[in-house]
Amino acid sequence: MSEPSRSDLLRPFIASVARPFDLRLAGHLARRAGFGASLVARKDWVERGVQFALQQVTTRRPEQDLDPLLADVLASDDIERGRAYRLARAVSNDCPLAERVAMFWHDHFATGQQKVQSARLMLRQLALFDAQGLGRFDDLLLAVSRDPAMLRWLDADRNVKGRPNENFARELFELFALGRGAYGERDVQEAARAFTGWRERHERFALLRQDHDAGDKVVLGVPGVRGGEDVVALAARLPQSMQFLARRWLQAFVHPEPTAAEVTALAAEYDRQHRDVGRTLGTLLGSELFFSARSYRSKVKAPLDFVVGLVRSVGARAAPSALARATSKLGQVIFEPPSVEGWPRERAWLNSATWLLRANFAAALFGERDGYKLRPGATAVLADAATPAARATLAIEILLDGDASPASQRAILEVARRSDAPSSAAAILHAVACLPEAQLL
Amino acid sequence: MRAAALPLATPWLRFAADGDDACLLVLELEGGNDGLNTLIPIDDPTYARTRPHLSSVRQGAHRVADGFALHPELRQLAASFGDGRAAAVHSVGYPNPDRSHFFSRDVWHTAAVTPDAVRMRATGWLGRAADALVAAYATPIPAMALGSLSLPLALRGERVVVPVLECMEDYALHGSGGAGSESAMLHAAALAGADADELQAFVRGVAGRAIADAESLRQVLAAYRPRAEFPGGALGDALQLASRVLVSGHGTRLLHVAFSGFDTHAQQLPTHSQLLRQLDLALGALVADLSAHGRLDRTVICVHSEFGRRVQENGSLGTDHGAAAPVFVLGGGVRAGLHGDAPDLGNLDDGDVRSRVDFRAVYAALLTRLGISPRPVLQHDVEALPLFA
Amino acid sequence: MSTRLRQLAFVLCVAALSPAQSRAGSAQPWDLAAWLPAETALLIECDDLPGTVAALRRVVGRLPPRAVLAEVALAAALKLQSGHDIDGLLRVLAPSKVVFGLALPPDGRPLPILLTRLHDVEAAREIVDLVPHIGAEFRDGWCALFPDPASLTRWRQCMANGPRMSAKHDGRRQPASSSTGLRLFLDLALFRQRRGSSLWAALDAGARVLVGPLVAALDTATRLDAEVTVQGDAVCVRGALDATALTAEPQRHLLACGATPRPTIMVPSDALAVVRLDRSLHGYLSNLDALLPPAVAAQVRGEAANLDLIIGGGSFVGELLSGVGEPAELVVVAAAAANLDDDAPPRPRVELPGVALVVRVDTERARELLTKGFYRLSAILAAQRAQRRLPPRLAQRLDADGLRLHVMRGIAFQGVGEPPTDEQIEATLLFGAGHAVLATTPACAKQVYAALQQATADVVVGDEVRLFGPAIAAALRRNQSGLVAGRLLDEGENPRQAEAFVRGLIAAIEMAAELRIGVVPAAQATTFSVTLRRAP
Repeated sequence: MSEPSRSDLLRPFIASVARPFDLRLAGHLARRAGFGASLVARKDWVERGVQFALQQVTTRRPEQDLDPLLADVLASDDIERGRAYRLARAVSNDCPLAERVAMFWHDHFATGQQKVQSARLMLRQLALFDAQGLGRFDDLLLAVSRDPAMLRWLDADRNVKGRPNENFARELFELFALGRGAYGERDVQEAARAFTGWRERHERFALLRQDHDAGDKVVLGVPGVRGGEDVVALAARLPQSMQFLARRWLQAFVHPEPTAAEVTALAAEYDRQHRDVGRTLGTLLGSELFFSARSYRSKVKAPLDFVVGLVRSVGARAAPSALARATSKLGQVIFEPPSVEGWPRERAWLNSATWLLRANFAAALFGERDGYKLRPGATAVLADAATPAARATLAIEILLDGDASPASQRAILEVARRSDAPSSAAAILHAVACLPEAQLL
Repeated sequence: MRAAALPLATPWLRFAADGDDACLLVLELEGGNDGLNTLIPIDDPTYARTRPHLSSVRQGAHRVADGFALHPELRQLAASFGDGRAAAVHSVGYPNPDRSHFFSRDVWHTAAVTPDAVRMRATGWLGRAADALVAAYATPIPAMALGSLSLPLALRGERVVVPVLECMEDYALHGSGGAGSESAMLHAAALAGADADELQAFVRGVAGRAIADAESLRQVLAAYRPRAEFPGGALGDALQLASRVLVSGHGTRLLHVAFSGFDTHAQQLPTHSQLLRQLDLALGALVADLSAHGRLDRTVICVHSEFGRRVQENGSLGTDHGAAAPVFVLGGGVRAGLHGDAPDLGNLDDGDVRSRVDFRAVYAALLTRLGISPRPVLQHDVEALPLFA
Repeated sequence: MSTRLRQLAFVLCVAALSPAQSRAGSAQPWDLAAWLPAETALLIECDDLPGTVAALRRVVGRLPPRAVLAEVALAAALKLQSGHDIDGLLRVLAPSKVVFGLALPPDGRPLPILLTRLHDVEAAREIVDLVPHIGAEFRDGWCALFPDPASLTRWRQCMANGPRMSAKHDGRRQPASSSTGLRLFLDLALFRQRRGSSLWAALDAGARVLVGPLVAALDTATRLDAEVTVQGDAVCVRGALDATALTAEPQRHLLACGATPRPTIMVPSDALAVVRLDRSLHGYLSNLDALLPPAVAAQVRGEAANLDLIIGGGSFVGELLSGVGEPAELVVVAAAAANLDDDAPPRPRVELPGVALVVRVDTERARELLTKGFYRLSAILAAQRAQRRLPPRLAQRLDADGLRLHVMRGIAFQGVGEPPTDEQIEATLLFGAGHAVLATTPACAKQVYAALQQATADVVVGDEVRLFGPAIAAALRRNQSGLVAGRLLDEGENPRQAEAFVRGLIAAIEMAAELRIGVVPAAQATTFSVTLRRAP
């Protein structure tokens, strides 16, 4: 029997003379699948073609030297260190998709330190996303349901036989797996019974038999459900779950408002891939849809995209602890999502105050003020270009893949002409970061 | 150049002339302030008995009404009571009090009635009030959060994204050479982009408003000179910033300032004294500054916490999470003195002061004072406490 | 190095342009009055620059001076197109005598003066001409150099108008001993006159306790004299201020023993550092109003009142502090050796060194209050831990090796992987040999107790801080990953850069066998010394 065929929407992108895989599309892939890439890397991708580029962003390579760093951060049990660690990963990690997906799941399974009260548990939840974020969703959902931080976050210790607490069961259905409308109140009550006795003990999952309601439950129309793992497996298999996740992925990777046809197509692909997240996203990232004009620069950068994107695009490093503070100040406090629904999205990120903060962050970073150190510095990054025009062009290539409107190009050329070396490199890069294009993902 | 076409420095100034411009500053004491050691039932023998160590604050406390005195450090607040500019509401809380900081703070911030609605953390009461202000007046920045790292839930609205400011320098466009080196060239870059692209037009709009707002704010604030000495520290800085915003009268009418550290489970006396001293110095400076600028009559300051603390002191010279506690209200038009029923330490709710006034009744009074209808903001019919004349 | 400074250093190296006649000039008198104005506030003299530099380098080896010298030599080599290595160049170029003065004329701008005795005046003139924007005055085989011609003019005005470098300097000059490298003179009265404010006023409450007595001396002394000597493997700065904290109000209350020598405990064999400050907490808390601004004094008083509650209603100052023999000593020792058994619980990733406070206990009441306070404190800390959902640590009595300890012991860490760093802290109180030891771990308390039992004839006066480089380096080396993590997260270095930095830092610390800092108040003066001894 032949496999069900892929929707036309998700057919692989094939570069042509009319639609080459150029610096624009390389930049698009670098921003969406990760947090941007250096100009050198992007040019290399263009040189070697789209398949190579896709392999670069999706292949998980052995971790760089970050594992001992995680151990040190866990030892400190300090949430600020934890934020710096996540920034260090985002800036330096060479497996962009794994990093991007870990932050996607952090938003999706939004858990907050304020209630969990343990940097160690929060860091380990993210480590779970690092390890399993691109695996089968069924496995991820079960692991998250038993994750110690999640157990604390959604009051597992109040969920006991005879007095079930519905907090986790409700969020599981509404926010993690199915979405509203796919379940009833009765399903929440029954599912909560199945999760009774699930606990965090000594930073681990434990099942407390005396608190667990072992009786049969009927959940989502299926009788004979016993434990929480049954509920998780059941929910992950439902068609509504596939639609729900497909929509989230399309929103995160393609366009804020996916069409019904796009959702159906990606849900089918996800089903075809046996609910394997990595393979599903691999198909999505290699598709015509992903590289389409509809997708290109159709999203607003979140603070993490903006902050890490600037640093990675210039091929530099900067102190992760300072970048973590900047990201927090711009409104995205890692380990502290504002609600169970995660962070605001798209245009909600930008208002006059946050725009100023973003512009001022770029000024401080490129000007190497307020404790920001760029290694190598802005001057070195632009050292290749001799004339003002060449500096303007190179800066737009570095931060915007050479794709800026005529008005933007004129504005940057003006800055390049008027700024004196050596401050000129910082001034030009800052001005490019202030362009409207620079806020788009 | 597009920058030249910006309506610089107009919206806020224009707004100041419109209708009632009373402002509200909510000062939240995070961690659960010990109400009984703030507004002390000084003659109550039960108080002294249940707090053998902590009741030592009676010494030097400032009597403000029959049987009640303010903590010794609250000198200026006591003076405000004397001047008829301050009020306190006894025993403010909510039914079925929750002793988790996290949940109880969300109750106060959302003002939602059911636990499920609280848990959704959808919007906050000040955010909804800001939505109402925008709908009525098209104010560009109806509300601001000061002194917090991220946006407090109270300020989350549906229409408005409320800015969080650490300092005034955040609200100006800097050049890469530092503050004050911004230039027309940078403005031109911010307002460039592709004309036809709707999303870029949105970003351009935000940037244009940011530049215009920053310029307008700079002009308005340039005229401000403090007329009181603010203490150093995070709270002093935040309240001085608040004073600048309030004095400038540019249409920001809701301010939220968080001041943390009140979770005094252990060794409460020095910690609490120090916190209240900072509070008193900063608040006193704010009242003096607003008063000197003739702005106090149109400002209301509300000081609350997510809960009070247990009546009985614990074995660590501290107190554990409690329930109802007093709320302080200062400023223009307030009916000075004590409101509500005094805590009855002989009739406790599981060891805690019983809630006699729902905090939403205080919110309703504050909103009414601002000219904002409480019903849509609080999403229920709540009878306002008669706090204002 | 700024361009100006480099120019100056270059000229300094080149000025003599002849083989240095080491020590040849020391017999001749230094006619400083002919060259330095009365407003000279800082004076550094070196009789034998090549000899001093060579001796210093024997001690500090790879430390920055070499990098500085390399830059100077590079500049010189470029100018002269010579192929000398650093040592050779210095031998050839450096003058024998150098004086650096910093004058503070009334116009407020500091005026630096570099004075050097020349061997070949003509060659020096030629080289000075090579360097633009420099001011120079040649006379009697001497040369005075200035960073710019304007400074030269200002100097001429100073010398023409006012009196010369006064006898206040010359009067105290010691004849140079054979090992003296540099002599330093600071006119504190002049500095104060120009700067105005007192250092004491700028200190916060904590700093007033820590360095108050020294600052009191600095605030009242008229002069500071010091010399740098290099002897064998040690470099030492010794000096004196002509004022003392013994009679200074209110700072004298901070001293416990003053000029009286006091016995000390033996330094434990694996100590990283000992800090012996002659401070009296009793004196501090009894004189808060004199020592602190009113608001701060009130705050500290509130905290002290709380201490009364913690020790169970006794008087912290009146009963506890007056019942112990201040000053206390602070000892930092290496963490206890790791238990390498297979079934041993996982070790924390970062080993914290043990820190112990040792004080003599004179009264039974003090001992009783310390014990009581320890137990009450453990209940308070348990409450604070509960807020972070951590299991409590409760004080308990522990009898081991014939000793009775009180230890805040928690249940063994049961979480996942290596325990958090602060889990290894188990506050411990031990009484023995007439002392109380308050330590971060039972092992540390026992180590210090063992040292207490050793008889020692050591006495100390004033303040003494001793840091032991090899032991500190060994402790850092065992916990390198934490330092590397700091570089990665706070500096944005990559792992290779971070490891190189940490290795370099540890190697530099390891080279110093001991750094010893002492401040001793006497009847009329305060002497101080800083000694760096190189590890063999």
